[in-house]
Amino acid sequence: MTTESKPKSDFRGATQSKRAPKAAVDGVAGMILAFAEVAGTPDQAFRALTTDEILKWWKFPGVYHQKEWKADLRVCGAWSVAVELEAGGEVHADGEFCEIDFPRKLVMTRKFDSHPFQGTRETTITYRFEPSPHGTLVTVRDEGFIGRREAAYGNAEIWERVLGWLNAYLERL
Amino acid sequence: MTTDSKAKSDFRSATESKKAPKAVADGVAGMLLAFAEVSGTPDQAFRALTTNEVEKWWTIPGVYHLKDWKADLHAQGRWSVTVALHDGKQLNEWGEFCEIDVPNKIVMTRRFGANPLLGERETTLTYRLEPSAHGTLVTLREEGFIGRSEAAYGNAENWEKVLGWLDDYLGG
Repeated sequence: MTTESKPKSDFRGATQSKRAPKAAVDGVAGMILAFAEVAGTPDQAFRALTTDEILKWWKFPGVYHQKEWKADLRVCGAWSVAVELEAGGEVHADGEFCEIDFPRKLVMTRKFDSHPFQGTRETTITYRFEPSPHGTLVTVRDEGFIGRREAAYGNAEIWERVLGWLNAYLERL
Repeated sequence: MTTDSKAKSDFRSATESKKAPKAVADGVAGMLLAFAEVSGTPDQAFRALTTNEVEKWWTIPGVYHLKDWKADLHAQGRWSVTVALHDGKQLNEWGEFCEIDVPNKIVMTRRFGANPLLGERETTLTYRLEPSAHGTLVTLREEGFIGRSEAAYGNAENWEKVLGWLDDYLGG
């Protein structure tokens, strides 16, 4: 992903460069806000996050990969995936879809059956996909971490990685 | 500011290094969220943000500096500052304090006399200042950009700079 800055016309304007993945945390409010411009169209990004394509790219080399993605892609439909840790062991993530507005917006819950910082707390993830000069601007809001600050700060770092993996995957399509 | 990562015990935990300034905008919701660990105590950061100390550090060399800071530091009290652009122009910035909890929290509105992206739209800033392993964790939320998403993305980049200057000023 290109991260070099291009000049901007006014010091109050945003640079025109492709936005690298970035995540900020409000530990007290228990939320993460992340964004990135990724390659591809909103349709492609939406599908990469909601179908078994996810198994191809959402993996942390040397740490974990995912398998057995299942999703009933409709409001109140359930989704689940198994996370196989390279160090041994398996964690399961699941939730349900709350809002689906293909290919612009996706709201879904998520919880893990085992997480050292988050416990079994459920969070709500809102993705928005907007066409942008560099492909698709993906904005992620992950909420529900009140009282679980360490999980919020840790997840924020992981969201930056995930958005980077998503971009790398979509660049290869 | 140190940005190198330290090893972490679990891949789901945050690195223990000092958090460099980061700001992310949500253009549709019209808000931005920023954070940074800065040097110094919450008291020092609070004073740097709410007194005329602001004139010492909130500046882009070659672009602008601030002067004439005024603040009536209580809820509903006014604040104002002049932004002296280095091309000779001057802009005004003002607002009022909504909530003050020394040294933990500041909520204040902000408006600019002339901003090409924000117009005269008022935004609301919420700072939270918490002691942290590296000094003070500053979390900033700025809200009120709905329909002005370009201003939100631009302001987010500026907030990263501002939090970096604050850290430098406080000894980072």
